[in-house]
Amino acid sequence: MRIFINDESFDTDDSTALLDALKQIDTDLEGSAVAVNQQIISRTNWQDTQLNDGDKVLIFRAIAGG
Amino acid sequence: MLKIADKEFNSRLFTGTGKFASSEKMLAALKASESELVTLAMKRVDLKGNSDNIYQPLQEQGYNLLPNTSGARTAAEAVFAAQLAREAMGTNWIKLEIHPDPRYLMPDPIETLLAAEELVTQGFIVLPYIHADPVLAFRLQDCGCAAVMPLGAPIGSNQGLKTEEFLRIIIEQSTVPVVVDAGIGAPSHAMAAMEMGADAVLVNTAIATASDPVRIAKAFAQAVHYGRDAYLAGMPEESTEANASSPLTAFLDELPA
Repeated sequence: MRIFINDESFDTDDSTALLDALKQIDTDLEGSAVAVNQQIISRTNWQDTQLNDGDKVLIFRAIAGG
Repeated sequence: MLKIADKEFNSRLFTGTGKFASSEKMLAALKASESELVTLAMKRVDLKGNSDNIYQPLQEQGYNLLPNTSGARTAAEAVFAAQLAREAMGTNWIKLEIHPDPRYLMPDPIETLLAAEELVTQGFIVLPYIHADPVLAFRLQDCGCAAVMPLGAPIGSNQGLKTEEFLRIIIEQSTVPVVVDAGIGAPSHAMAAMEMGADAVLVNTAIATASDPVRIAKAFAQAVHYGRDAYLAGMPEESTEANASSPLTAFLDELPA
């Protein structure tokens, strides 16, 4: 199946957990938040959240700001 | 000591983390400022880019974090941004800012009030960034905001307290702490805000873009400290007429005619 992480497409196995999908990304997830189809998924649920074909995953991170 | 919601602060200087030349310079300046509350923003990660992780060092140094909702143009976007920030940084404190117009970054009062009401219901400690509007400040305080953050001038403009007379009304009427935010471009501006009775000020651009951020951060810390001291000392009122400080009259009376 195909999922999107921050608008980039990724081909993954069916029944891929969110946590496994995030592991494909070479980015530091400290201070980050993740939403799937505009729904925020708390860190403790990343392992248990199964992704579906076409899901849009968005990763947000704390950055400098005033 | 300043108390906002359940937190007490020794320093009345809050600082932003944006626009510094490097993370190292930012951390050094924050240290010099003695600030205990620092703002951060949230952004979608650019998978191709490589950005510094700013959260971890700030967390390790023990700063209280105040994420903002910058980038939100509506109440719904701001609520979403606040929820993301809570998840990412593990704090329910939020600097609520909604400014749809990129030129002047004026905060939208209607969306801000709507978002504040929702965020308070969801258990956030809400510090809304607003224009220096005493009526709006009152409404936000009334709906449960922990403080109000009226602007002195447009964000990053360094113009100082253009809204001075309205800040004065907000400070007089507010039952929650008033943090003067935005536009403070010099320690003298920060000092003036504190002399007026502001509970704190938030400074970012003026520190981050100075030639020597550490040095000016120290100057801001001192200005805020002395401004607060002057306020507590009970400053005398202005008068349009002179009011002699020396008893000249008696001496003049004794001159021969």
